[in-house]
Amino acid sequence: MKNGKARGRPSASDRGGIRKRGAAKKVDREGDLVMDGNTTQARAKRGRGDSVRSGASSGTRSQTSTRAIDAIQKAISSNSESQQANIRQGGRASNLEQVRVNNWKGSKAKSNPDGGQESLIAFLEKKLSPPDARASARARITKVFITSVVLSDVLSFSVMSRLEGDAIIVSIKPELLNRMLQLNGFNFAGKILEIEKYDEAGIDQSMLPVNGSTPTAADTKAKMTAFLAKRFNRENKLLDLSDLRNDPDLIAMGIFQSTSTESKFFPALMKVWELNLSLVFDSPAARRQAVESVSLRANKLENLKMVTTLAQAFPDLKNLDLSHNDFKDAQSLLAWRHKFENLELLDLSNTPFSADPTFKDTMLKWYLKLRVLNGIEVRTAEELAALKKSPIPVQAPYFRDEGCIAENFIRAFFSGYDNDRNGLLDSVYDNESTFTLNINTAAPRAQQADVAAWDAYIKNSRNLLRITHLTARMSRSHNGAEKIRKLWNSLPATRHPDIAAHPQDWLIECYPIPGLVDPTGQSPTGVGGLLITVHGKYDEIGKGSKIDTRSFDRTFVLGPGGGAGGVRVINDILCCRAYGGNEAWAPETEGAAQPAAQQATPQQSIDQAAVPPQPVVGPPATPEGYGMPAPGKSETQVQQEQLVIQVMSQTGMTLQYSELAISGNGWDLDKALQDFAKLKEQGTLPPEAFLAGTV
Amino acid sequence: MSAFTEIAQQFVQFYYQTFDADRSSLAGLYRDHSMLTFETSSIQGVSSIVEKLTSLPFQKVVHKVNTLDAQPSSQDGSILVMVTGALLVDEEQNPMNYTQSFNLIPENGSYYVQNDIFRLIYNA
Repeated sequence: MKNGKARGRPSASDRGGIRKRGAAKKVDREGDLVMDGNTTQARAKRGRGDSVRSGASSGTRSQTSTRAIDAIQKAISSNSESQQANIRQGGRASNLEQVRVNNWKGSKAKSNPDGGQESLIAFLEKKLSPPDARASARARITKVFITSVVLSDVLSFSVMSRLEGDAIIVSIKPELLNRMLQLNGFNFAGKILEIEKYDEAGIDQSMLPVNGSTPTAADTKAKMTAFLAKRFNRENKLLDLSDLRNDPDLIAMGIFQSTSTESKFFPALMKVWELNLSLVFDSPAARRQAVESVSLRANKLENLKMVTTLAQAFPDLKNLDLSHNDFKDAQSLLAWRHKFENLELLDLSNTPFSADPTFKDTMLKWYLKLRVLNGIEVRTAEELAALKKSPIPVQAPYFRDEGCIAENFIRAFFSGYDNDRNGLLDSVYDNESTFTLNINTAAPRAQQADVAAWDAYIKNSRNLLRITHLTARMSRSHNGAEKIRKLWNSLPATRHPDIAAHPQDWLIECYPIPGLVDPTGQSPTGVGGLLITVHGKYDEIGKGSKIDTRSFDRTFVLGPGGGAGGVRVINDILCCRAYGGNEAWAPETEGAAQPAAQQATPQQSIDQAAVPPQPVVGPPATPEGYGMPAPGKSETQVQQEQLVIQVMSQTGMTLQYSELAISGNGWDLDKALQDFAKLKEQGTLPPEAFLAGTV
Repeated sequence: MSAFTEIAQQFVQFYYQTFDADRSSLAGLYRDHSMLTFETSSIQGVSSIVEKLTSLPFQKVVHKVNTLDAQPSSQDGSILVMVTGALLVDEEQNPMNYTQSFNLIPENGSYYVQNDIFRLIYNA
C-alpha cells in the first residue's frame, strides 16, 4: 500500500505527480496506467474489505475527501460509455457477476476493426452455452467494456496500439460464473486466455476508510452531482464553473483546504459530469451537444493543470470564459493548444496574458474557428469561410453517361443487389466478370459508434497489402458469374438507400473509357466502356434482424454486352468500411472561396445533387458513338471527341461551340476553359452557344 | 495471369512514393491519351497532367494506403486498380480520405496509366 500511496497519491506539497499526469494529453489513460499498476494485482489477490489502508482512519478531513474523490476516479476511471451503462444498471445490484479476461490481445482476430473484441465475446458466449443450445437459449454476455480506453478517443488509425495490454471485463449471469472461470487457459485464436473473477465493488470500498463519519465515494459523488446540477443551465447549454472557491457547497466539502484535494477535485468533477450526462442523454452526439459554453471565470488559475480535463469532457466547446484569472503567457495555456477545435468565442480579459502583444495572433493561430476574442470580433464570416476551405476543394460529381446506360445500370444494380442477387447476376454478369471485395478497417467513422464485426466479409477480403500469398490472392478473386454467386449468397443481406429519395447519400461518377476488348472480335481497336465509381452507405441486415450501417466504395467497369441494358459487368471491386457519413461529397459551395476560373465553370455541376437524375449533359447533344472508339475512327479523333465532351460538360456549350473552343486552343482543355470563362464574363457568348436548359 | 496483383502493388507503391517525393516525376507513367480526373477536373495528356499535379495547392503530401485491390480488366493484360487510403497535406492535422482508381495498360513489357481517377471520400 505504500507503493499505492507513493504513486497514486502525492502529498500536499508535491505537485510533481499531478503535473506529470496533467501534462500528458490523456489524463484518463495516464491515470489509469498508474492505477492499474497498483491495482491489477490487488484486484486479483485481494478480497473485499481485507485491505483497509493502515492509518486511513486517522486521516484529516481533507485527506479523506481526497480518498473519496480518488475512489470515484477509480470507480469510473475505466470510463468507456458502456461501462457507464454498467454502473448505471448497478453491475452487482442487478445480480451480474463480473469477470476479467486478460491476454486476449494479439489473437488471430486482432485485425478486426475492434481488435478482436467482438470475436472474443462471441467465442466466450459460445463456450458458455451448452452444446445443444438453440440460439435463443444461448448464453449472453450482457455488458462489455475495455478498461483504460476512453472509447471516444479511439481513432481509427491507432485503435490497435491503444488497446494493447488491456483487459476486458464482462458481466455475466451468476449461474454462468463457474463455467466462465473454467475457461481460464482456453485458447482463443492463438492466445491463452486468463480469466478471473473481478470484484469492482470490493476495490471501490477497499479504498475508503471504514469510519462512518468520513465522506464515502457515493456521498462525494452525490454532492458533486448536486453541485453540477446547480451550475448547469441546460437551456443555455452553459456550465458555469466560475468562482469555485467561494461556492458554499464546495467549501463545506473541504475541497479547497489542501492543494491535494483541490487538484483532484476538478478531474473527479468532470468524471461525475460524464457519468451523469450518460444517464440523461443516450447518444454520444446529444451528450457532446449538451454544453456549448463553459465559464471558468475568476478561479485564480495560473495554468491549466487543475482544469485540463475540461478539454476531454467538452471537446466541442464553442464558448469559453477564462477571464479574471492569472494566466501569464501562452505557455500557461499550452495544454489546450490543440483542444477545442470548434471554439468560436474565447474570453481571456483581465488576465495578464491578454496584455501581451502576441496575445491575439497566438490565439488566432491556435483556434482556427475563433470569431470573438475578449468581446471583440477577430474574424469575419468571410475569413472563416475562406479558412474552412480544404486544401483540395471538394467538388460536385462528374457524371458523363452514354444514353443513360450508367444511370439505368446503377438504379437496377443496387435494387437487384438488395433484393435479388441471383437475378442481378443472371442479367449483367457473365463468365468473364470478376468480383473482389476488401475491407478498409482504417477508414474513419462518422460518430464514435462501435463498428460491427466484419466476420462475414473478412475471409474474402482481398486487400493486396495484407493478402500476400498468390494462392490466397487468387482464391479471393471471384471469376465468373457462378463463383460470384456463391460468394454473394454468403454475404449478409443489404439495404441500400433509394437513390431518388436520398440522393445526398450517394456519390456516383461515371467516365467513358476506350479500348476495351470487343468480345465479338469485330472491332480491332476495341470498344468503349464505362468506368463507374459509387460511394455510399448501406444497412446490413444481420442475424436476428440486427442492422448495421456501413459505408462502401465500389468501382465497376462496364462493357457492351448481351446483358440487360446492353451492358455486361467486366470488373466489380467493392470496398466496405465503417460508416463515415456523406459530408465528404457535399460540394463546397462558397463562391467566394473558389478561384475565378473554376467559378466560371459548370454552374450546373456545383448545384447538382450527388446523383445522376440528370446527367451533366442534358438531352442527347452528341451523335451516337461520339467520343467512343469505332472501326475506322482514329485514336486521335476519339481523344479529340472526348475532349469536346469534356468542354461540353464543363461549360454547358453545344458540341459545335465546344469543338471551336478546344480546337482553337490547341486541344488544351485548361486553356479552353479559361478562354470560356473570360468570354462568358465579357458576355460575348451568344445564347445559342449553350445547350438548352444549362444556363 | 497472376502477375497482375504484383504489378498493381508495385505500381501503387511507386506511384505514391513518387507522388509524395516529387510529383512532377510521375510524367513517365502517363501517355498523351491518358486522362487524370482529380475531383471533377479531367485532364488529358502528359504535360497537362503533370501541370495539374504540380499545381495542386499543397507542398508536402503523404499518402497512406489502406486497401488495394486489382483485377485484370481485359485479356490484353490491362489492370483495374482500386485504392482507398488517406493523405496528409502540409500542416493539416486531419487526414483526408480518398479512393483512387487506375486503369493500367501494358506497353512493351511495362505499363502506363490510361485513367487515373482521384476522389476524396471523407474530408475528416
